Amino acid sequence: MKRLRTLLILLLGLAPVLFWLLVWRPAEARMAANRARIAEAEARLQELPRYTPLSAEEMTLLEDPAAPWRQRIPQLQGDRDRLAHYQRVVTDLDQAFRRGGLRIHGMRSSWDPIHASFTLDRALAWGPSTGAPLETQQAGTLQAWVLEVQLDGPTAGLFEGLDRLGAIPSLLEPVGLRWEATPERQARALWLRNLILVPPAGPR
Amino acid sequence: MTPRSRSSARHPFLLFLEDHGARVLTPDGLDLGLIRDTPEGPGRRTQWAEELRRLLPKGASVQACVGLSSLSVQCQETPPMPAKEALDVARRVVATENPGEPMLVGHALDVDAEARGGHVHWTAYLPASHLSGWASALEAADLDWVQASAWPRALLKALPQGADAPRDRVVLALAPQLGRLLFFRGPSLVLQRTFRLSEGLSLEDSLELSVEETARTLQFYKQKFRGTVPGDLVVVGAASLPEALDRRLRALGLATSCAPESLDDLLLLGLAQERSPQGLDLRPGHVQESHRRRTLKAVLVLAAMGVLVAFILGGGLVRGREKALEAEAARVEAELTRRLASDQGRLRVVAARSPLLRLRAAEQRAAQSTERISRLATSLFSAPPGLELEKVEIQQHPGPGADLAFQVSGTALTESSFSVGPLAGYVSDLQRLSGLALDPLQEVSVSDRIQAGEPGVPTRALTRFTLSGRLR
Repeated sequence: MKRLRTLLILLLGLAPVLFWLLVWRPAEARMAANRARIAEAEARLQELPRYTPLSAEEMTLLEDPAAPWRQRIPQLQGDRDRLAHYQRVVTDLDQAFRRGGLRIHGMRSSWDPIHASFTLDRALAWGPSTGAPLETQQAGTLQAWVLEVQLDGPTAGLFEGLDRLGAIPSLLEPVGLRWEATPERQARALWLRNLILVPPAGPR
Repeated sequence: MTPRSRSSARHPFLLFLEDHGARVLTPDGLDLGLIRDTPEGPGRRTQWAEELRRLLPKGASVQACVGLSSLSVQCQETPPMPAKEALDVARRVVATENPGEPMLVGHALDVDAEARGGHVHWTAYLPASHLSGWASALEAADLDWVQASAWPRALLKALPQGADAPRDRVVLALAPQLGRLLFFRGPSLVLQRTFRLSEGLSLEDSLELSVEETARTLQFYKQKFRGTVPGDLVVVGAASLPEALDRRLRALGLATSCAPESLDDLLLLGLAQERSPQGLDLRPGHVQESHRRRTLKAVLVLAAMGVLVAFILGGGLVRGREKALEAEAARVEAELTRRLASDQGRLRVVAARSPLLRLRAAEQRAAQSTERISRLATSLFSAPPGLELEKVEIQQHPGPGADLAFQVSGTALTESSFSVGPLAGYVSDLQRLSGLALDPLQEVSVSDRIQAGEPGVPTRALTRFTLSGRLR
C-alpha cells in the first residue's frame, strides 16, 4: 500500500515537472523565437510607408504628355521654349486682364531685368518647394521667374488683377505689389511668379 | 438488460447472508437464487464458490447484507470523533465483550441532534469465522466484495428520515420462517429481537405469533426504558393486518401501518444509502485491505493514464500554439518580403504622381498667397482721414513660411497742433491684423508750422513717416 501511495505521489508530483522540462520549456523557447521574428518583421513593416497603387485612369492621366495640367508648370528645353512660354504667359495675362477691364501699362520680368529707378528683386524668384519626395526621379529642375505687371488706373485695379489670376491658364502666384502716388511718380504693379521645369543644370 | 451488464461498484450484486444460507440478488432486486448453508467442512467453501460462479459473472461487484443471528449491534451516543478513533472505540467495545475471540467489527457515526454529544456511534460485530467462509468463497469465485453491511442498519436507512419521521418506532419485519422486531430511537437501534416462524405456518398464524412476540417484547421494552412506549409500528412483509390484530396492537398503544414496499425493496434502498466510505462495513480486515489496494492500484493506473493523456493533450495544445505562431511568423515575414519587393513600385508610383502633386501644391500656395496679399493690401490701403499714403510695397519673403514683408510711407495732416494722431490710429488699426508684426517706426518727422493756404486755417501740422513690418 505504502509503495503504491509513494508511486502515486511521485507520478502526480513529477508529472508537472517532467511536462515543464520536456514539453513546455523547449516549446516556450521556440515560441519566444517565433514571437521575436514576428515583432521584428512587424517593426520593419511599420517603417515601410503605405501607398495606393496607381489606377488605370490615374496612370492614363499622369502619363499623357499633352494633358492640360502639364501646361500649368511646363517643361522648357531651351531659349526657344522659354520665349514661347514667355509669349504665352504674357498673352494669357493680357487677355485675362483686358476681359476684366484692366489696362496694362507695361511688363518686365526677372528673365530680362531692367535696372532703373526700381529693379525687380531677384529674391522673388527664389523657387518654392516642389512638394515631391527627394527620392523620386524628377523630370527636370523646378525654377521660377517673376513677371512685373504695371497697371494703369485706380488702386482697385491691383485687387481686380489679383482676382483675375485664377482665370489664366499658366500658374501665376502673386509674390508682391508696388503702389506709388507721389507728384513725381504714379505706379501700380503686381509681381507674379511662374514655375517652369528646365533640364537639370539648365540655364536660368 | 442482463444482470451481468448492470453490475458495477456503484450498482453491485447483493448477497443477503442469513442463517439458512445466502440469497443472491441483482442490483435491481431480482432474486437470482439461494445458496444454502451446508455443514462446515472442506467442501463447503468450494461449493459456495461454485454456486457464486454459477450465479454471478466473474469480477462482478458484490455487496453483502449480513443478517446472521450472530450479528450484534451496539449504538452509543458520542461526541464527534475522527474515523480512526471511532474504529478504536468500536474494537475496544467488542474486545471487552468477547475477549479472546476473533471478531469482525464494523462501525459508523451518525449525526443525531437529540443525542448527547450530537452523534450516534454504531458498532456491529460477529465472530470472524462466520464470515470467513463467505470471504474465501467470494475470493475463489473472483468476485469483488465491496462492502458487508449490517441488516438492521440497512433497514433503518430505508425508513423515512427527517424532522417529521417519528423518533421512536418499531419495525416488524416478516420473512419466511423468520420474524424480526427492531426498536429504533432516532438513528439508534435500541432493541432487536428475532423469532422463528415454523415452516408451513399460514400468514395469519405468522401474524398472530408476531403480534404476541411484539406484545411480549414491548413489555420488556417498557420495563427497560421506564414506561417509554414507541408510538409507531411499521409492518414490513405483509400487505395488511387483520382487523383483530390491528385492534390488539392499537390496544398496546401502537399506531400500526404496513409498508407498501417488500422487505427486499426496502433493504435494497437502505443498502444503496449505506454504500459509501462512511457506511458500516463488516468485511474482514484483509479483504478490506486487499480491496483498498486494488482501488489504489486502479487509481494509480488511472492517474498514470490521466498523466499520459494530459501529456498528450497538453503537448498537442502547446504544439498547436507553437505551430500557429510559426505560421504567423512565416506569414508576417512573407508580407514583409512582398512589401519590400513592392517598395520599388512605390518609388515609381510616387515619381509618377510627383508632377501632379507638385502642381497641386503650387496651386494651393498661389491661392493662399493671393488671399494673404489681398488681406494685407486691404489693411494697408485703409488709411484714416488726414493720412495720405505715398508708397506701399509688399514683397514675399523667401522661405517656407512665405511671410510678406511690407513698407508704407506717407504723410499725416491734422487740424490741431498734435499731428501724429492719425498715424497713431493707422498703426493701431494695422496691429489688429492677425499675424502682423510692425517694425519700430522709422523716418518719422513732425513739422507743425506748415502754411495751409486755406482761409481760416493759419497753420497745419505735418508728420512724415515710413512704416515697415511683416505678415506671418
